[in-house]
This record gives sequence, structure tokens and C-alpha cells, in this order.
Amino acid sequence: MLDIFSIFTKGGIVLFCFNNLSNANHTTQFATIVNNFVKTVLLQERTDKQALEHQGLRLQYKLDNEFELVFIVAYQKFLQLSYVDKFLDDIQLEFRDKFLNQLQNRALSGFDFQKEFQFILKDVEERTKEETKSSRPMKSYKESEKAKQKAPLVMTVKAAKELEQQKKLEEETARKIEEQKKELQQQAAEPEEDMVVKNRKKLFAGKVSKEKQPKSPKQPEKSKKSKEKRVWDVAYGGANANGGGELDYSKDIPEDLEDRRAENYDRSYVGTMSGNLKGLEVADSSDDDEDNIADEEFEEAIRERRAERENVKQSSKSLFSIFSGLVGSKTLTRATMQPHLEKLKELMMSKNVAADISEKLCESVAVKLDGKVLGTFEGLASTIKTTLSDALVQILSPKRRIDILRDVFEAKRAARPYVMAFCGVNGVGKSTNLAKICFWLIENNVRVLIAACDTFRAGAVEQLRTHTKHLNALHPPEKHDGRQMVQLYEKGYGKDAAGIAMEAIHYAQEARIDVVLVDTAGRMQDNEPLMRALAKLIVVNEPDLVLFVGEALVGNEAVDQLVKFNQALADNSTTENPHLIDGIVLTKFDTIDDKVGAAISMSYITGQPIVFVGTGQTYSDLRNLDAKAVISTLMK
Amino acid sequence: MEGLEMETVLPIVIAVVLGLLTLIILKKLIFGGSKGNQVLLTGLSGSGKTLFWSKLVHDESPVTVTSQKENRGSYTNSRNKVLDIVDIPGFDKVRYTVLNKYRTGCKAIIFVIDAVSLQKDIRDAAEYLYNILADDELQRSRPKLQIFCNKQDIGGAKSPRAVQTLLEKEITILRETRASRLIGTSDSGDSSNNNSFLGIVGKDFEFSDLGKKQGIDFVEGSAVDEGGLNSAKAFIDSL
Ligand SMILES: Nc1nc2c(ncn2[C@@H]2O[C@H](COP(=O)(O)OP(=O)(O)OP(=O)(O)O)[C@@H](O)[C@H]2O)c(=O)[nH]1
Ligand SMILES: Nc1nc2c(ncn2[C@@H]2O[C@H](COP(=O)(O)OP(=O)(O)O)[C@@H](O)[C@H]2O)c(=O)[nH]1
Ligand SMILES: [Mg+2]
Ligand SMILES: [Mg+2]
Repeated sequence: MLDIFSIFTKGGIVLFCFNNLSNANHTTQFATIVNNFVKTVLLQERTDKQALEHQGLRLQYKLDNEFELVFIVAYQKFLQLSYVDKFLDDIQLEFRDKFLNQLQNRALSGFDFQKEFQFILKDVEERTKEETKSSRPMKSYKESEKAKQKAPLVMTVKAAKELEQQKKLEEETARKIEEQKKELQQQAAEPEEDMVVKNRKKLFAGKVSKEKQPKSPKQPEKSKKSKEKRVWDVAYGGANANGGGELDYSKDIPEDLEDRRAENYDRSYVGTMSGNLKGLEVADSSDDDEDNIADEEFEEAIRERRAERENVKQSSKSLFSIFSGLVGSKTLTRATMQPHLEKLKELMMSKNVAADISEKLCESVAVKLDGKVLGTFEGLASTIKTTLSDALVQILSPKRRIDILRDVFEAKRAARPYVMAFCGVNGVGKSTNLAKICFWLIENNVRVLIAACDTFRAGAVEQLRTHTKHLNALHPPEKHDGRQMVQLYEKGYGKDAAGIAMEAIHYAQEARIDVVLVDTAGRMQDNEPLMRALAKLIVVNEPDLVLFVGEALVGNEAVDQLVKFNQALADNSTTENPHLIDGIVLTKFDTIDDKVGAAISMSYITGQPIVFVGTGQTYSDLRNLDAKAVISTLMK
Repeated sequence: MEGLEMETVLPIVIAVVLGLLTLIILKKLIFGGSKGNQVLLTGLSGSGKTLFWSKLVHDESPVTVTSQKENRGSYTNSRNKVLDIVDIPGFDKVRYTVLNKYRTGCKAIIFVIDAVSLQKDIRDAAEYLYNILADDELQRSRPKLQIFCNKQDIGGAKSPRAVQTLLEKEITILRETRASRLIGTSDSGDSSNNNSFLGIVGKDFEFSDLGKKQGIDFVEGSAVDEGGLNSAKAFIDSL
């Protein structure tokens, strides 16, 4: 059912790997999937997301921040496995317990986890099966009634055994069971197997009696517990019990927490039931005896560790408090981090980072730190702050090399022009910054053609004509071996922008001009026809670089703009890999004082770097983003 | 009963151990114990650093995936010198943050190259190497440099000679485009130390122009093959 399950260190060493990919090249595919996951989620501060989908697979993961481990699961996304979170939790605890020593010593190998993995997986799969089975009865009252009949059978181990016999001696036992069912139904507070609360209520509506109220507090709840416990045991042993329904039920009732505690409590007793479990196992699988004995020993070991875990949890508190009292080391938890994160979130928002993104970043930091043990000299507040600012630096750091001049050189070698397209909403500074970039290119002896594709706003072409004139005056042909450094390609107003851009590129190719800068009309992200036109321009002309121009003044609006621009580009693309925004030009940076948050918002949403920063109205007011300086301003 | 005893004794034991640890850490902090014995494994993502590190430090060959954090471990060379081998993640977004943590006082840098995919990655590899060579802080302790041309077990891997030629060509172009980079937003811009010109003006870049005493060591190797790390081990032995 699972395609991939793997445990690896944050250092990149795989400690355990289960690979069920059908592909012939499955080892490489494993690496591709996991590497892509690491690069797009873990290293892009997206750890607030608990899952991601990639090529038909759904990936879910869990971080262990104490031992710096990543647990990851991948499965076909149509499966919609709802137990994966629980599975990851179980696996993590088991893995930590079994290999505590090796993990502390940072060993690279010796993690023989196959059996435990299979065991826990089987358990999960069983529960999933049950879940799908028992979800069908939801549809009709009659069917759910049927499910109820089955349920009491697993409420006692005895009954579970009888279920076995039933397979062989159907008739006779069936009658017995029928009797027992009735007995049990009367005894028990009520059939707890069915997760459909509605149906349960219907049932009760018929025979309302005080003590049988499903939601009556405390006492009846407790009397149920002993029975629930056994159900859990059987289910956990891998028997064909109706465990799935049981578990979901626990989610349905309000005393969720209470039940979970009961569940934990049960586990410490699981071992004592192994005799019965064995019987079920043997009947269930056709393994030979030797295997079963080994399995049993092994299962017992797991159970022991589970029980220990429970004990340790209880005693570790007192031990731990002495510990931390002495040396001041402590484990980070959500609760202790919350107030600090809250403050940092406020701080980010006050510096104009979009609210939504501040929230996500804090969540991401929480996920990355939860469970980490602080060293003697590490303070809580400073650790959280450092982690956040590292995360922010990471967001602003480009994920790939950006060296436009180098790439222009490469294009020149291939005898084709390098094309950059500028897009964005109205009045953000597209044309102005295009002119500044043009100036920078000319200064570096690169010839430029400006394509006036803003055929919409009155005066747009004239604005560019003026820039061209000024630029040529600043860099006259005499200074450049008689070559005119910048030219304007214009076709007036009202024409199709994509067509003009294409002509301009052809012209540049003929005239051996190095770079084409495509100015486009400003458009609001909600204007669909215009957005489609922009997407067309990009699809048709395949620019080397699509730059989104955005004001540093923008706050929450940045999210909407960028998401919609990217969406439009994706929706209107015909290829598998649509050409989205490659980078950002952040303008009017001189007007924002310390409110530098837009830089974070924009990089975060697109995952793309800020390639240029506009810092004023003259040609030389163009900069690289200084990530460290921005972050230190932000965190002040 | 036993449990109770454990609970009273254990904290004391732990306290003592921690106390000792604290002393050791303090000593390290004050006397800078770890300074000067670090060997940094650098290179693009996927070049084979983590496998190299595992093989060297633990003599194991695990399956590896993209690193998010550095791996550290000690290696004792033939002259009985203990070295701290640090595998720096290669992914663009993290490499410099991690590298900056170790750039003060490092002893040597091994730049690992995937000699099979170099043609495709040359611009990225050269830029990373350029940044390492042009980083004043990193170069202050005059670390020795080895270029480890990895994955020689695969057919079509470039020889060290070919790798050197490719890198020299690319750095010649790179130092021009580097000089034309825009300045940073923070201030006048002269703070960025990565713009320093490498090699000799007016002459194509050559590694021999860097004025490194021992020159730069280009070797071939493989993190997979038996004995594939010998060339690197010899380098580390010379430290
Ligand atoms: N054939 C061959 N494969 C190698 C060699 N060295 C590494 N690999 C493989 O190359 C892939 C990447 O190796 P890693 O060691 O994870 O790469 P890395 O440099 O640590 O990458 P990052 O952690 O992303 O920086 C793995 O699949 C390795 O098994 C080698 O010498 N020969
Ligand atoms: N202060 C400041 N103003 C800018 C900057 N960039 C553009 N502007 C101004 O913003 C206004 C709109 O610019 P324009 O290029 O016409 O925007 P477009 O509609 O996106 O092409 C003009 O008045 C520019 O002078 C900048 O970096 N700093
Ligand atoms: Mg304009
Ligand atoms: Mg690695």
C-alpha cells in the first residue's frame, strides 16, 4: 500500500528504506522523489505543510528534531490513507526506542527495522481496510445494523475466538454468537463499534434510558473502557477484528483525549494477551511455525518497549525537572515556544510581511524545533529567533545560480538574444526599472532592444522612447565602437503584445542585439482576459527570464498578486512544465524604511529570488538584495 | 524500591557527567580547541560529499539523499593527527549559511565534483568554487585546496586535467561578469568580498596564478570504488 517509507538523517544519510515502487529504476526514482521533497519542502521553509503531492504520489513526513531525523511516507494519492499520521507517530516512537543507543552515537548503520516496520505497517493497513469496510454501512441503516452485530464479537477475546470457529462451524456458532451478541448488547453501555453517530442516536432514540445515553458524562464512559481496551488489544495483534471502527469511534466521541490515554494504558498490557493473539495470527496467515515463534518474540519485544515508553513518560517528568534545574537544558515543546512565536509573528507583520506568511513561517519553525533538546548555553528565545532568521535567510537565498550577465554571454555564443519579460500590476515601476536594468546592461557593454509591448496605457510608448533617448545620450555610439547601444521596438497602441514581442525578438536576432527587454502593460491579477494575454505572450515567446515587478510597499496584497499571476501562467500553458515567474524585481525600496517584509512575502510565495531591487528614480538606483541586511532589519 | 534508588542516583550521575562536559565545552570555547583542524567537504548538491564523508569517517556506504545539515566526524590521519571532517550541504539555499559557520580557521577544503555531469553543471560548480576562492574570511587561514573529481567509476567521467581546463575557462568568464555585479542594498557595496578578482588581469585565469604555495591539487577518485578515496586520504595525510 505504501510506495516508499524511509528514515533518513538531516545530514542526508538513509538509515532505513522500504521501497515498493514498481518502476524498474526504483532506486533512482526513490532518490529523485526524496531529494525533490527535501529541496522543495524542508529546505524552502514549507514545513508548515504536512503533506505534498508529487506526480501522483502523496508524501507525508515527520521530523524528529532531537536526533535530527526525517520519517517519510509516499503512497498513491488516490488511496487517501487516513492513518499515516498515526503510523508515523508509532514508527517514530518505536524507532527511537529500539535504536536509542545508535542514535545517540550517531551511527550510520545497524538499523534493522524491517520487522517492526512490517508489523506496524500491517497494523495500519488492517485498520485502513476496516475503515473502508465500516465506512460503507454509513449509507443505510440496515447495513449499519449488520456491522453492529459483528462488533460485539470482538469486544471480548473469547468472542473473537468464536469468530474463528464460526468460519469452520458456521451454523452452530452463529447461533451462539447471536445469543452472545444480545447479551453483550444489553450489558455494554452500547455498541461502540459504529462510527456513525447519527445512527447511534437513532438507535437510542428508541430506548432512551438514563444510563444508556451515549454522551452521558464520566461514569458510563468509564465502565466502557475496560471493554474498549480488549478490543484494542485484539486489533493491535493484527487480528481480523473490527479495530478500524473502534479507533474511529474514539475520534468521534468528545472525550477524545480520555480515550487516547486509555489506549496508551492498554498498550502496556498488550503483551499479556499474546496467547490469544497467536491463535488468531496462525489462522490468519499461512506462515510456518518457526516464523510465528520468532514473530511472537519480536512482537513481545515491541510491546515491552511500548510499555516501557509509558513508564518512562511518567517518571521522566520528575527526573527531567531535576535535570533541567541543574543545567538548564530543556526540550522545546509547542507550548513553551508559542508565546515566543507569537511575538515573532507580530514582529514580522509589523515589518510588512504578509500575515498569512508570518503565520506559516512561525508554524514551520515550530515544526522544525518541536522536540529539540537545547544545550546548556542555548536560550529558548534566542534559539527560536536564530532559527527563524536562518529560515528567512534561506528564503531569500536563491535556489539556483543567478548571473544574468553570464547567461547573456552564453546566449550570445549561441547567436540568439537573451529575452527578459517584465510583468506586474499597474504603476509598480515596470518601465522605470526596465530602463535601469537597461542602463546596467549597457554599462557592461551589452546591446539592448526594448520591446514596447505596453500597447494599452496612453503614453507608455513615449515613456520608453524618452528613456531610450536618454540612455543613448549617456552611452553614445562613439564610446561603443560606433554601435548604438539601445534601440526601441515599437508598433504603437492597440496591437497584440505577444506579436510585437515576437517581431522584436526576430529583429534582435537579425541585428545581433544581445538582450531583449519586453515591457508589458500593467494588469490587475483579477482581470482574466489581460492575464490570459500575458500568459500567451510568455508561452509564445519563451523568454529566458520572466520577472515579476512588485512594490516593496505592498503588504498582504502581495500574496494574492503573485499567486494569481503564477496561476494564470500555469493555467494557460500547454506544456507539462509551465514557465512561471523566475524572479522578482522589488521596486521603491527607498520608500519603506524598515518595513522590508515584502521581500520575504514575494520570495516565499514564488520560491524565486529577488533579482533586482529598485531604490530610487535615477538610472543608477538599482541594487542586489542584501539578504543578511534585510533580515537583520526585519528582526530588529 | 530499586526504582526509587535509581531515581535519586541517576540525576547525580548525570549532573556530574554534564558538569564535566560543561568544562570541556568551556575549554573549547576559551582555547578554541576545534580551530585549525577542520577539513571542509564542499561542492554542488549530488556531487557525492555525504557518501565520501561516510566512507572516510565511518567506513560505510549508506544510501544518501540531499543533505539539509552538515555531517561532522573525526578522522585520524597517518600522522596521528585528528581532523574534523565537515560535509557541507550543497543545495544553493543552505550552502553559504553552513559554510559561514566553519569558514574561520579551516585547515583544508576538498571541493568534490561530479565528474560525470560537470559539462552540464560547469557554471554552477565554477561559481561555487569562485566564491570559495574569493572569500577573504575563508582564505584568511590559507586552507589547502583539493579538487576531487568524483565518480570515476562511471564511464564518461571527466579526467582531472579536463576538469581543470573547464573550470579555468569558466572562471575566466565569471570574473568578468562578477566585476559587473550590482552592489548590495545595504550600503556602499564595498563590503561584499566576493567580488575580488581572481588570477592575473589581462591573462586567462589559471589555478597556478592563485599564488597558493602548494598549488591546487586536482585528483580523481570515487566514493564507491574500493580505494577510491586514496587520493583524498593522501591529501589529508599531508595536513
Ligand atoms: N557511481 C558513483 N556514485 C556516487 C559516487 N559518489 C556519490 N555517488 C552517488 O551520488 C549521489 C549523491 O551523493 P551524496 O553523497 O548524497 O551527494 P552530496 O554531495 O552529499 O549532495 P548534497 O547533500 O545534496 O550536497 C548518491 O546517490 C551517491 O550514491 C561515486 O563515486 N560513484
Ligand atoms: N521611489 C521610487 N520610485 C520608483 C521606483 N521605481 C519606479 N518608481 C516610480 O513609480 C512610478 C511608476 O513607474 P512606471 O515605471 O511608469 O510603472 P509601470 O506602470 O509599472 O510601468 C514612477 O513615478 C516611477 O518614478 C523606485 O525604485 N523608487
Ligand atoms: Mg509602464
Ligand atoms: Mg549530502
